[in-house]
Amino acid sequence: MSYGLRVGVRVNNRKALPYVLERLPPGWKPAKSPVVEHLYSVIMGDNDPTSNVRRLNLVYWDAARLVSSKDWNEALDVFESQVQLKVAEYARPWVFVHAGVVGWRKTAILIPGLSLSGKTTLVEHLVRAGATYYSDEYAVVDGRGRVHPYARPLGIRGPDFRQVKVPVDQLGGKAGSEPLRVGLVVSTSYRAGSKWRPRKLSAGRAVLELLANTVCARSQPELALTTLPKAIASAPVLKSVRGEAEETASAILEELDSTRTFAAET
Amino acid sequence: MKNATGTKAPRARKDQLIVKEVRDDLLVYDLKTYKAHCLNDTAARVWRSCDGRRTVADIAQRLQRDLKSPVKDQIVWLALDQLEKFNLLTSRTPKPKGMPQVSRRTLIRTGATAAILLPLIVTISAPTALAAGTAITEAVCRSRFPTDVGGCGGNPCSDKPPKTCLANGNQCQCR
Repeated sequence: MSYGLRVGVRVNNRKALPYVLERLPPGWKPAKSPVVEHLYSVIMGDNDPTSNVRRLNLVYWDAARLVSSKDWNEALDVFESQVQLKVAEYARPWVFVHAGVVGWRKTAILIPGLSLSGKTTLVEHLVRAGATYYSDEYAVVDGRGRVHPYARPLGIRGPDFRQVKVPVDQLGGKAGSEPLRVGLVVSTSYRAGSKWRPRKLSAGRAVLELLANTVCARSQPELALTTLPKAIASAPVLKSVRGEAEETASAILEELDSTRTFAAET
Repeated sequence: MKNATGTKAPRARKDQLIVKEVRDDLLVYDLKTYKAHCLNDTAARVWRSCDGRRTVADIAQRLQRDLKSPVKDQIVWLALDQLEKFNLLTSRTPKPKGMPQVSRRTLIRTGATAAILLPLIVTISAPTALAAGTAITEAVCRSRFPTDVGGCGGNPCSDKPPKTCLANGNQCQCR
C-alpha cells in the first residue's frame, strides 16, 4: 500500500524479494486487504553465465509484459519506474507534481520541472545549506494543499548522466516527516552562465507551471485544478533561469526569509 | 447566432471545459484538447461577456465600466482573436472589412491602453502521466508501446542524452 493505492507484487524466487522491496515507492507499507488495484509479477531469470540455458528476467503488469531482459537491474529499473508512476497517477486524493521539495523553517519550497532541468542538483545544494529534504522527484500534495514527503534517496547524476542513489544523510541533511504548507515555488532550469533574476508569476500562471508537471493533469484535471490553487494560496511563485546551484540555493533561501519577514511585519 | 440588430455576436464555448477562478486569473481546461489556458482579467471579462447577444461595442462598453478605464473596440477584437485561436468561442463577429490586424504591440505603441489592461491568454498542453514522469532509461522506454495511453511519453532518456523516448513504428525507442 502506497499513498492509499494497493499494489500487489509477486515473485517467482525468494531471492528476488529484497531487490523488489528496495524499489517500491517511499513510505510503502503492507496492506491488510488481499485485494489490489494493480498486480505486478517479477520473474527472476537464471543469471548464471555458465548455464547453457539462460532464462530472462521478466516483469508483468497484470497480463501485459513490461520487460524481458538478461539484465536483472534493467528489469528492476522498469519495475520501479512503472510502480512509482502508477502510484503517482492513481493515488487519491493526492496530486503528484514532478518537482523537487525541501522544507525551510516550517514551509516547503517547491521546484517543479522536467527531468534533467537541474532539480536534484538544486535540492542537493538546498539540503547542504540546511534545508530539510522532502523529495527530488515528486511533490505529493494533499487535498488541503499541503506537501508530504516522498523522501527516496536522491538520484544524483554523474557526468555520464547515469543516476547514483545517495541517501540524504550522506549529504549531511535529514529528511522531513511532517506535511508542510508551501512557502515558495521556484520554476527554474539550469543554463550555464545565467544569473538568477526571478520574476513573480500571477496565481493563474503559477498553477499552469505546476499543472505542466502534474502526473494526473490529463486523467484527473478537476482534482488537479482544485488542489493546486490551494497549494499556492499563500506562496509566491518565481520564475527564472539559473546559473550554478550553490548561489541559486542561497538566493532562494534569502528570498523566502525576506518574504516571511515582510509578511510578519505587515 | 445573430443578435437583435441582426449582427453576429460572439458566444463563449461552455461544453467540455473546466473553469476555475484563481485570484485575478481564470483557468480554463479544455477536456477535448487537454490544453489549459490562463486568461488574465481582461481576457476573462471579454470571454464571460460573449453571450451571443452583446456586440463588440457592447462588450467594450461593459469592460470600460468594469475596469474604470477607457477601452477601445480594438482591445475586444484582440481578445476575441485569442479566444478564437484557442477554440474558446462557438461563434464570433466577423471583423469589419479593411480593419487592420490588431496586436498587443500596436496597441501599446499607439498608447491605446496600458499593457496591464491588454488581454492575455497563456496556454500549456497538459502532460500525459508518462511525460510528467522522470527521465527514464532506454530499457524503460523499450518497455512502453506507442499504443499505450500517452504513447511512448517523450521522456528524456537518462542513459542516452539528449535522446527522448519516441515511437518508431510499433515500438518505443530512445531517439
